[in-house]
Amino acid sequence: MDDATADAVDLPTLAAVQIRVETAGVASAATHLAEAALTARRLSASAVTLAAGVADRTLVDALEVLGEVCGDALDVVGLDLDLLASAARAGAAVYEQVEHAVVAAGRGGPER
Amino acid sequence: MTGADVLDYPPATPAEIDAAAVRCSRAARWASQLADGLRRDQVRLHGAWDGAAASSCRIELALAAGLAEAVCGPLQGAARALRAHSATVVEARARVDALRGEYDALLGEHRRRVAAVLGAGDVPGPLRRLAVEDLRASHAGDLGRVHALHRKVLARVRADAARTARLLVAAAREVVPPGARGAGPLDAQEAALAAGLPLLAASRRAAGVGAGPPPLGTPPMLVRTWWGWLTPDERDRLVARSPAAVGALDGLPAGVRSRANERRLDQAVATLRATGAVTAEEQRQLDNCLLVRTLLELARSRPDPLTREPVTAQLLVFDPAAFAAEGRVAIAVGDLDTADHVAFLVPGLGSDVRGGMARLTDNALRVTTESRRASATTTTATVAWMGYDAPSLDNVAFDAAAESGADLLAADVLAVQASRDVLPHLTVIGHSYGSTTAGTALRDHVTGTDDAVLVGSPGPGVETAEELQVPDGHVFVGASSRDPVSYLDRFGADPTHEDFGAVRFQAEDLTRNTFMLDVADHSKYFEPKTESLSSIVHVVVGDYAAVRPAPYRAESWFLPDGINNDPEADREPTVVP
Repeated sequence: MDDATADAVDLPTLAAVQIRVETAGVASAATHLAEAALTARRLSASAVTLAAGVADRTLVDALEVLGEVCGDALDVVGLDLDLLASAARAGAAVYEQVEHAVVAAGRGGPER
Repeated sequence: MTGADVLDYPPATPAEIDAAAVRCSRAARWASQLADGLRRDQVRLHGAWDGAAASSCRIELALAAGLAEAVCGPLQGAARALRAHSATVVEARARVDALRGEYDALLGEHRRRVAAVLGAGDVPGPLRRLAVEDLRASHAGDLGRVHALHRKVLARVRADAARTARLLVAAAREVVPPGARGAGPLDAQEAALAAGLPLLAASRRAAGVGAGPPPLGTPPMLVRTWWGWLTPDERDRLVARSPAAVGALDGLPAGVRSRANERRLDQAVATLRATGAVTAEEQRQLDNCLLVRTLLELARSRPDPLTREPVTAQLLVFDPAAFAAEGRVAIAVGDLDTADHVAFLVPGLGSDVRGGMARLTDNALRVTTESRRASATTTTATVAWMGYDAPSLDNVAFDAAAESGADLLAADVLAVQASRDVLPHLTVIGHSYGSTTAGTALRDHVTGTDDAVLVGSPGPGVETAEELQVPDGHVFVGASSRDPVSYLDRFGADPTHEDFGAVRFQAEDLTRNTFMLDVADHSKYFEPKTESLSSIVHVVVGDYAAVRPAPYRAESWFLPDGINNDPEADREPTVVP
């Protein structure tokens, strides 16, 4: 590559990113998500008891298969909600720090 | 006797089926409420947070809500199917009630008629007796008709239960993404479900969570190390989610493999029953699964002779589809993870799960319980190892089955060794062609085996005991003078001869044929209170002084080997208390 070609390369353009965060709202949603995760896990645990008390072995086996699959699905939902809750919480905390930093910078305080 | 005594209701009650239906409905309702709540959270999040990350989170939340919703339909469908079945059972019970009434009425009518005949004083006695006989025959016919109708009612309920089970399994399949349906859905389903949620899937990939167990063939020591890194919860999840893979992993504790294999067994039974075992191979698999389940239950119902606690039984190896659905199974009687002594029983000719597992497990039970009596301060686990494709009469004359079986046996022995913190005292016991397989394994593999026992051996695949990789002086041979197979020396040298270099122990049975060779005497080495079982057990617990030595057979160059060449032939067998 010669110099002329190198000069002709465009610099990447920076895209504007808009973010709007209401920290208290995100934190509240995160709490809801964590509670929902707990509910999903409880539901998963109860799904595996669908066959409880049934005497017919044919039905028991089939109910166990159904309970297992539903339990798996709800388990995955629980894992996902936990992940979202912790991500949202962490995000909210970061934004809060940014907000404080911006406010502090506006007042002429130390910029972090 | 009344109709209620002889005509049973169907096994399941409407109340218990209705209760299961209610549980399904309730679970569906709760899952639906969960999904609604998640959608509300989505809106709440939308009001508070904008941007690319927020958008990803909202999409993920919508997908999670969708997955929660996805279980509702199948659960509601299951509830409907169960209610319909419950109605069938209610109807069947009403029909049984009617049949019971009919039965009682027939009984009353019959008694009344018989009494009338017997009370007819103007009719001669012989004629009255004939009339009573006629009444009885007619009555038996009537009752037979009622019984036949009753059988039909129960059969209809059974058929309806099977149909309902199929609907339930079909409902379960609706939850799993289409790509993950089909073979082994239960193993793959969680990963498939998680894959539908992009953020979760990415997070799991990054953390290595949900990456299944190591592939089959991973060295047992590596498997053991990997297992040691997992948390108890992760272990439980793996056993629950991937029972086939976990159950087959060499190097895991036997208790863990057993839990996984039993779960796999239950799943196999459920699947085969729900879809119906249509081919002969599937039917054989189902039969084998049910047999293995029964044998585990039976073993666990037996008490330890000293503590009277139930004996531990573990399903170490379980592959119902192996060897053209003959099955590959190993049941340990005793706790393989903690036992001081471990023994592997290797069966011979014609052994497969269906034809030989019950007897082999029974033999293992005897070795374990008698070992407790022989050594009260130590524990023993004996593996009934139906782990290779044992030869049939067609190919018993060749050693190909022993060669391939030897590799499998060595792998399973090494797997147990690798799973243990403290190595057990280990004995491999081969019976009949199983001694050829065992001998070949110990010839070709370093397994850490302490003792080899060969009983009823047609030849151990070697010329001398030195070729077997066990410590010197630790090859033991049992051969009844009446056992024709033990004279064959078809595979290598005859181990009952002194120059082979094994220790021969007494193995005559009280019930042996009086004066000639008898195939029945090939199968008495593990019988209770026999010389043979006693010596086997004392080898297993390492009490070599208690092994009952027997004189060696002599080689005859003039006559075929036979009863006349065996100094044990004239000795009176003893009973071992």
